[in-house]
Amino acid sequence: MKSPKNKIPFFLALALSFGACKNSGYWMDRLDATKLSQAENKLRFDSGCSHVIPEEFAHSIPVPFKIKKRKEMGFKILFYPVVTEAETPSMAASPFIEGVFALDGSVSDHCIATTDQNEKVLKKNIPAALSMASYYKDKSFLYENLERIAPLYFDNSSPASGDIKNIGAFVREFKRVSEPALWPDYYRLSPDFWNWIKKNGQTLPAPAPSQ
Amino acid sequence: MLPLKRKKLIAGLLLSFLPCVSFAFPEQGKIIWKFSKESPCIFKYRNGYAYNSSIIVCYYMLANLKTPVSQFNRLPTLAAQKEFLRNVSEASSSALSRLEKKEKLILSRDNLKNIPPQASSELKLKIMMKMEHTVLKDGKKACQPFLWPKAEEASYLHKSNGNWPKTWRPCMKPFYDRWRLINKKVQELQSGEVEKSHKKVQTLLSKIQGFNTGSISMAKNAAKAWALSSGLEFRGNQNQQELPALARHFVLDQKSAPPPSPHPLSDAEYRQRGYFNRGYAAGMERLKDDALLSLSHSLGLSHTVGGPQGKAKNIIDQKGGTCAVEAQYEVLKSYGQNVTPKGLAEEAFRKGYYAEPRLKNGSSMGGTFIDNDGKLLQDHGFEVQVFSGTNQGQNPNLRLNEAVEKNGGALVGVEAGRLWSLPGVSGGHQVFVTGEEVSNKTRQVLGYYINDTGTGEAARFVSKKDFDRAWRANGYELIVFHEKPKK
Repeated sequence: MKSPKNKIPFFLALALSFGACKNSGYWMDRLDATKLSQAENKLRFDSGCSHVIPEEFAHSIPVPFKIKKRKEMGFKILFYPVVTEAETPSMAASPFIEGVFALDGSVSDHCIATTDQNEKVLKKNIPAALSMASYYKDKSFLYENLERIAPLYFDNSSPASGDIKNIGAFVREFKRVSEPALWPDYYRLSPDFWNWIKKNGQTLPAPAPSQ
Repeated sequence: MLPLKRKKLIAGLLLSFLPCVSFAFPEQGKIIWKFSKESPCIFKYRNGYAYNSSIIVCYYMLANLKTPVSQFNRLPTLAAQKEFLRNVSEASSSALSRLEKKEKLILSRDNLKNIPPQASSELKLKIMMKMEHTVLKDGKKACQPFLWPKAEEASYLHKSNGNWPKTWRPCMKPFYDRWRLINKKVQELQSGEVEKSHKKVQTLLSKIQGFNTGSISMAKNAAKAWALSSGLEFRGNQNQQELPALARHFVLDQKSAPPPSPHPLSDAEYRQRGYFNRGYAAGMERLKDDALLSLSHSLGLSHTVGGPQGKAKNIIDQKGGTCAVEAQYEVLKSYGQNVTPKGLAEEAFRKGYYAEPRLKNGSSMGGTFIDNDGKLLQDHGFEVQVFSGTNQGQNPNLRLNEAVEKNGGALVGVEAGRLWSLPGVSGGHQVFVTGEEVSNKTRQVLGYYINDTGTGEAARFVSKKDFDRAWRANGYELIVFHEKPKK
């Protein structure tokens, strides 16, 4: 007989394997239920951003930021053109627009053009080859974890061991789902957040910001 | 083995390196590379005499060096220039022999002869569609050291059709010829699959029609047919136990005439549909959907609203990020307006509805600003209402259904990646909803028909669940339109 302790990983594995069987639709529903995902849509369609964001532009994963002096905290997100062709992997151009939003209303939703809107370079965009189900599974976990860890970063509170696990999971999912070509842009958006991630023992994919 | 003609071509190209190093007119100072788009490889001595350089060496420099012309012209002496050309000539020569090896490998791999003759037509199609893709992709990769200039993205505004530059032809020719050969066979097999699927439906229907006696048996048979149709093959009495429950589920509306079959009835219709434009698996899935819909119509289980088959003829392949513009083009065409995709894209650009930044590598990817949704329709005599985000008030599905029932369609913004099953593509994408499928019993919408200029697919059926997931991710963006009454 195995001790109950030994049984837990078995049931965990069983639960996880059931989780793996869920189809992409289930994970899409879960992703769309996150506050972050809904706030992204609000930013695109209900704010002044709809003047400047072309419909076809893709959007990045939101990154938390805070400006202590102005007591501002929220999320930044990038909008960029994507070229998809049957023969080649999707390509991203450098982001044109930076959006800002908050879940608690501490900053008003707005967008700014990043630089000159011409002559952008295309970069390889596609994340690792993932199936629809695993992409949306990872992305929904990423958003859920981001919602859990962002308040810790905003408050500057020291994370408990459970929170450290969430931070680790966030970084793992970020590496899988985010666009490698945009990593420098992600770091540029909020170096302070990424340094906080590093302080909590996580390794970021290169070129990570220096502390 | 390489064909003899190809061998001769390569030998000729190799021989043409010789003048670079050994043959020259009376020399006067340095060589000047006079570059122009029309004649990129003109080399002349300062005194005007021509310097015969190999075109292959020239293309190799253009394809591999960042600023080849100024780099060459800045070299201090004639000796340095000749040394430079000699080095490039050696490098291009070894690149050419690498290309020769790769070409041999690719053409022997992507060869129709490799397909087992006993394989099913489905398997043959699957293998051929893969070959079709890899022969061009790997051919392009093999030719990369000689491909100059870079290919441009298709764009209405920059008058680029997205074709390869002429200078690519000599290197890409063998790969393109092979692709053409495979593509011809693929077209034949694809249309065969459509035909086969249609015949399966007809056979099933003829089996079912034999039992049409009395309402209960009809309902039973309908249920039986439904169970069969999900696998599209006859499975005897396998589902006998489930039949009564299934029979209760369906109510046959025998009075209404069967609506037109979603299956394409002609070659032209088949081509418009673009069944396999997103690949083999997606194509087979679409065929199955259309077969089920055909059965469902014949059994009186559901009907189509909006006439999507009639609107399929207006489908086009968009260039760049013009989906919102070209979706409006389709609407205008379906109302008989005299517009062109290019003309409408230019109009949208001129009016500031659409932007198309030119990217450094020559490609361009534009988009329509969300605030300008439906503006082209307004400018062409339509009344337009735009709904999106959190300010919807009413259930967005009810509004869409109403628009399809009243006006025969609507435009919606969806997340492209979810609609095309392409993970990682989070951009928005506008499509023309040309109809909907409605259950005869519950009167509920089972799914929508779309024309998608992004993939060139027309009258594609998307189940309500899948449609809603793609639509929700783009803020349930909806553009409802109707023609203004003429005075």
